Amino acid sequence: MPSNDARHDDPHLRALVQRARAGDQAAWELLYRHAYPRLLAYARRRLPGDASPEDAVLETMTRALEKIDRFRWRDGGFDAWLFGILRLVVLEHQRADRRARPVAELPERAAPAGDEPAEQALRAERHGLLRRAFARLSDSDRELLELRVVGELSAEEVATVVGRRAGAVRMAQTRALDRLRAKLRESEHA
Amino acid sequence: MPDDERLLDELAAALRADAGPHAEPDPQRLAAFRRAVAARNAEAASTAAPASPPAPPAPAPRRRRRLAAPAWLTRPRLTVGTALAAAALAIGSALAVVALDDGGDATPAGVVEYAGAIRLPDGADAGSLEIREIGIGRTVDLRTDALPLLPRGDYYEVWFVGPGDRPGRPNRISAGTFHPDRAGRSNVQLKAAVDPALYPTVEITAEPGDGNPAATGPEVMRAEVG
Repeated sequence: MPSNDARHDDPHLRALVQRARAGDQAAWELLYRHAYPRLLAYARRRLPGDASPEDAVLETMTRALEKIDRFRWRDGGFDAWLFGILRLVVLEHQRADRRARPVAELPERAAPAGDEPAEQALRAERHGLLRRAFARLSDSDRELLELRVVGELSAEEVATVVGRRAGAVRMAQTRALDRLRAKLRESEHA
Repeated sequence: MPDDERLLDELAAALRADAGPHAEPDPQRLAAFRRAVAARNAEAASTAAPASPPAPPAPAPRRRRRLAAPAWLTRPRLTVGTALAAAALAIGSALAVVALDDGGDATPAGVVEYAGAIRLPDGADAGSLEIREIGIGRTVDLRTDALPLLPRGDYYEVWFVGPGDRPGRPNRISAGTFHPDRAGRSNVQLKAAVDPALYPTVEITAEPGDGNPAATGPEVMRAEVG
């Protein structure tokens, strides 16, 4: 997993946020673009089927715009703060429509080019197994792992997003991964 | 743990493989966001300038045309059209005299948008409902003695219901949950970032304590507020 400490302490990001606080339109646009792929990937996985992930990200950024004066550089940093907002947006949609989008509904995508066909096939098969095992985890396990690997957040950042201590998040992650391994073994032997 | 890190990496690759394209926001949403930034800047500029104090609320009007508030507080559905309208509304409201508060301390007065009866499904008066616009959204004051105590774990939930709401395709926003007190009184104040003009029906349902956040229980009271 990539370390996110660098992002948290990134002076460029801090400068952008500082400019954004002052109402700098270009800074806001850069922050939007900076966070967009990860916010979108998370929203795509978490939103109910009839909600637009792109709109959820726009909603998140618009709320961030409104609340920026209250943002403080502590705990998880700016990205964790944005994910915390997006998580609330997603929860509001889930409250309105309990049917979370099953992972299996997401389209299967081709393996990245560049490998031998046999390697691609093996990787695709392994990814398929992983996705199916992942889909059978509890929602809380999935959310935590999605924040880690789709949102690319550190355990400390995830702790900020979900309002828990970093140690508790690490422990929950270990248990979630243990459950994922167990589901994987079940899938492999099925 | 190395094994955990390896599995996380593998899971990241597996989940990213179906994450889809769109590494950039599309131009239409980007434009909507730019307008929202411009609206925020305009509002900040107007707030910095001296303004006349807000007019006191009229004495308990049945309904009052709502003052424009920052539109992103009251966004109902996430559509581009809504976002564009939100930005336009916010620009329009920049010079409006509204006592806005971005913190947890709502202005005590606000603007009354609805003050009237809330009714049982058969139409009988069951209590009173008042909705005020405050800076952070709306307060909902409900007073009724007509709600029976529920089994332990169950609760009542207040919803703002929009057009077309139906099972399977809900269009509603929860304003919160409550219990009657032991004497059977339900005098509660809830807060919700919702616009009654867009969600014009307030509905109370009795919900089972099953952890399902969707509205699954029967409607027990209703008021048309928008």
